[in-house]
Amino acid sequence: MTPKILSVDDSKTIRTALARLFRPFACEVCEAANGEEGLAMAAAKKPDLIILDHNMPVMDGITMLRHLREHAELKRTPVIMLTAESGCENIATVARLGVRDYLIKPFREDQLLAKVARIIPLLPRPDA
Amino acid sequence: MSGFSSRLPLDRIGGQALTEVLETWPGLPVVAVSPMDRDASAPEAEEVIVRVPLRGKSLDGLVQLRFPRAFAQQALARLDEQCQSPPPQPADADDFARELGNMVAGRVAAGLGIAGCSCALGIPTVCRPSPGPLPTGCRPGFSPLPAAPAANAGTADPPSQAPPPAAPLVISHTRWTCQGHRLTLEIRLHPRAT
Repeated sequence: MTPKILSVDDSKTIRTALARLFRPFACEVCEAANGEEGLAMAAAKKPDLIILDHNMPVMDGITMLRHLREHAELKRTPVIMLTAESGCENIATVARLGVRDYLIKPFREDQLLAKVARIIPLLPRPDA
Repeated sequence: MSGFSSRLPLDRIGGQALTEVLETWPGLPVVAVSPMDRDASAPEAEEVIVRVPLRGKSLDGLVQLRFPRAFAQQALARLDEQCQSPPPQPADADDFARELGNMVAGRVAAGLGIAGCSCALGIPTVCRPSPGPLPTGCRPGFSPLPAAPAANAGTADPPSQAPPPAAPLVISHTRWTCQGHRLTLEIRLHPRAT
């Protein structure tokens, strides 16, 4: 079955970059622009991985993460934080909430692909 | 009163932040403009200003990045050059500006953290100095940065869009060129009242 990645970031530039990054791979990428939309999308799509920004309007990434961890069906969903925040307190907080990895923006695409490939299979798209 | 020094190397922290971000994303070299080089080029027609509030235990502050819209469009085109995307729209340039400001402010906050002044980022806002409708939280007349009412100082709220008080303890104002465009980075820090 094709793995699903949910990208939650208020920046369209970043969401577009992630969609482009995963285009060569056999995976489905869905998007949300804040934590509230992200929770709804996660409940609807049941993603295999969430790539989550921290600093967003409406609902930030840490609040979304807390809700996710309380959700019966979604609490084990792997999360990679992709954020400009690099403070120790922030990293400790998300570590306690069980994020699988943490990448600071601006990120190198090969670094993100390597982190994602440790969580879900990234196989070439058959029609590529 | 404050947990930070007025001798913080803000110019260096800001310069490292800007160069690291632009050289990584979207991969553009950036060069410092000498303070002596005042009028090397005419101001470009339409500029974008992005502001990111900082809030720490001992300080409040603001990171402001100013650059021509044409620079944002050029950087976006570079990011999109691997795929056949439609040409960038004005809203795309604003979105790019917000994210660029967010990344630069994140690096500035990291540098401040190393110097012993940890702080968190607020939500970036994009403003235009030219006439026209302004997004919420923006005000016309951006130089110098507007003063905030004294009542705003020292509140325990999370990072907000409120501008900082009028007399910052530390100011950094540096100018840069990237792909022929002029960029200005300004950082202002104030001690938090206790």
